[in-house]
Amino acid sequence: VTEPRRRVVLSRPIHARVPIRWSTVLMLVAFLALGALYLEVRTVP
Amino acid sequence: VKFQNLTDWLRNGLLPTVVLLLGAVLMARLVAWITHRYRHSLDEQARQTIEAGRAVSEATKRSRAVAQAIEWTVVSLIYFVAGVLALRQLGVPLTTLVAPATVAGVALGFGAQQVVGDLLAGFFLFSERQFGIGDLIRLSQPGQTTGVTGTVEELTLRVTKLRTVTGEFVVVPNSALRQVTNLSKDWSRVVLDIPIRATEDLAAATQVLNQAAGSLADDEAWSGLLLGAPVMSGVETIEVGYVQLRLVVRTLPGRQFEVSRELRYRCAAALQEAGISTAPLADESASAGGRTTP
Repeated sequence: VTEPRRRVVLSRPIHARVPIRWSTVLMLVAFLALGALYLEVRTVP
Repeated sequence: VKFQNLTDWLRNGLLPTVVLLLGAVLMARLVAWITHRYRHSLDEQARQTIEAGRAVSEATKRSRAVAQAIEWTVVSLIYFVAGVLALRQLGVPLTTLVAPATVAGVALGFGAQQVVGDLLAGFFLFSERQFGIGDLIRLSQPGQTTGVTGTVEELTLRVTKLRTVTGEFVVVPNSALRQVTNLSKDWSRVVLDIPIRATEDLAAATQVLNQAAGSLADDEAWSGLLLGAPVMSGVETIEVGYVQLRLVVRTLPGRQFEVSRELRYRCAAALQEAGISTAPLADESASAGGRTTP
């Protein structure tokens, strides 16, 4: 019998009742932050 | 100047590319989440239907399969478009890639013609509504009745995944599906051929079997699975030492195996009780049987 593989933090849900993974939250935050940064610093008209 | 170029590239090349790829992954996850929710609600509906003793509708099975195929297609499309846009954003001239892409496409086409065949076969499988998720199917060579039998667990444009009665998980590319026998479409039928010793009173045997089959139809636990009264069709074959009486009953799709087992049990018990032998004249050891089912 093999032990069930432990899920890394990023692939775990943020809450038992909220089925959203930590990795999704992280990506969403990065998307919004980098998106805002891009709109701020872009030089192409 | 070089530093200025680098910062320009970071601002207008790398940064939007990263944002684009992150957006693509998020969008793919959103599509997967929506289809997962939809499939989960269909599964819940199907579970309640089965618990109520009814058959899962063809539309539900098909919707589940189509949802899976749509998810696969949309996610692939999102990643493809994001990949092309990211290359353009990084300054890779796409027009100059047309010629190498054509050569690569031809080479890939030769290598991946099996995959293309699978996808096309999957498309026709969906459009012709041959089977859906939850259906019991048998895969075999044309003209043969033996092959792999199992319940469809997953259906994509490329592969069909089955679970056999012994728990084996079988994955078959869609282009390899030659003859598919759907054992659970609309309705099913139990056909029992019951051997009766040649010297026995056939009228009495028929009456006993009729009563045994009638008891199944009257039983509340089983009547919900039947789509009509069991019918004794009569003498199916005359062999050396015994004859075979045929008993037929229509059942809900996919429920024929459990009904046939119960029917076989009741018939064997009733014949035993009535003292009617099922063993052929030359062989005293045989007992009541019927068609073997998974």
